[in-house]
Amino acid sequence: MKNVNAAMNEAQQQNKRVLAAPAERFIFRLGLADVLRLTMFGTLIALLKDITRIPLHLPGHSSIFWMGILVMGKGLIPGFGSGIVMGGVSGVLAVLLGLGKEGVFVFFKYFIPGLVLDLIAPLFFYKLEKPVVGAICGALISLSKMLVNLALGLLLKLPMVFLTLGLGFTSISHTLFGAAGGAIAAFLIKRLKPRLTTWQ
Amino acid sequence: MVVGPVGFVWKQISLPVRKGDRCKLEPALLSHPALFVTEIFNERGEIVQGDDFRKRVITGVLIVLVIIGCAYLIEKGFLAIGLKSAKVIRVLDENKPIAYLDSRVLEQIGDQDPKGPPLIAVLNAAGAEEYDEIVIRGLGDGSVYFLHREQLNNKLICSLNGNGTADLIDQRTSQVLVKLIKEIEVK
Repeated sequence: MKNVNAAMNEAQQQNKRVLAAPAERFIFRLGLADVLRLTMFGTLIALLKDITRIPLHLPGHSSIFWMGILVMGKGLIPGFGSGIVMGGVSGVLAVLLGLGKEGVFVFFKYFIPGLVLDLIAPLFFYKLEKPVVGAICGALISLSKMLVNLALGLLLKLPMVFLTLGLGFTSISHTLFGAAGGAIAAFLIKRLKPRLTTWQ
Repeated sequence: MVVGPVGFVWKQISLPVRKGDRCKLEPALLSHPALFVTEIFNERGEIVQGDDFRKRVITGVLIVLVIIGCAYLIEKGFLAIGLKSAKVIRVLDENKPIAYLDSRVLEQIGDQDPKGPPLIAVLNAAGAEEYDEIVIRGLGDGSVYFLHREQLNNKLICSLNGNGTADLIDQRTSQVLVKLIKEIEVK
């Protein structure tokens, strides 16, 4: 019986030591488990963009879930690099799935919002669980996507059908949908963070 | 620095960590393994991000507004240049602009047909629905062409020129009805 108790105590101590050990850095300042979770978020972005067909006919309407997932991923796994990983994974998948008319350059359309999110989140002290910060970050990364779209359209001489409605209106539409996605993500972060106690 | 579990400040510990870091502490906080740095205090115990945070939020909103403003300015610039050279066609419904189309959009409407899209497809794509009369104005010779809705057919083509402009052509007679279309108005 003593032996069993001793073994159990030893196992508990070992478990505590493992839990208390700092996570090993895999890329940037992120551990392997975090990178895998971010990969999941990135995959979700590309797949949702490919599968969902929301009949809104407004430019940038996909930002509501696209930027929402980016902000949520960044809020749940803070630190520089999480946006880059999500953007990179979704960009590579977008190229492989043949999304968009830009060919391989579609990668930048997915990558740049992630990069911009990585750059602006520290400016707001990573407080992405605050709806106002989530909305601002969502709007800014949605606008960055619009600018990349515009730049690629001009460089590759593609038909920019979204400009038919006007660049000003397009920017407002991108802002509203991006902000909505970011604000929804902020509520989700607030709800999810306390429940993710075994999130390491 | 203060480290707290998410949602409430549970314990204050000085640690060499950065905002946004995730850390695990032993032994007191092991029941809360997912910890994020929630606030940063200076040596006097004041939160260092109060006013600063508010300023940054306001700056963020201003940046969004500036980008939208710049988008409107760029749009105005592009349109002014495009309308002057007839590289952008303005579609009006009762004197209100409903769409601006350039040659790349016209190509898209015409399913990449090198001849260009039919006028009826252009009007549908622009969102013109209820109208009886169509007025097409040209830049080249200042010509104006009127037609009624019943006269619309697939033989009236917005023929694309190589330089990003379009002419209205009747395919049955190969006659150029309007040279360098700059405006299409429906009434």
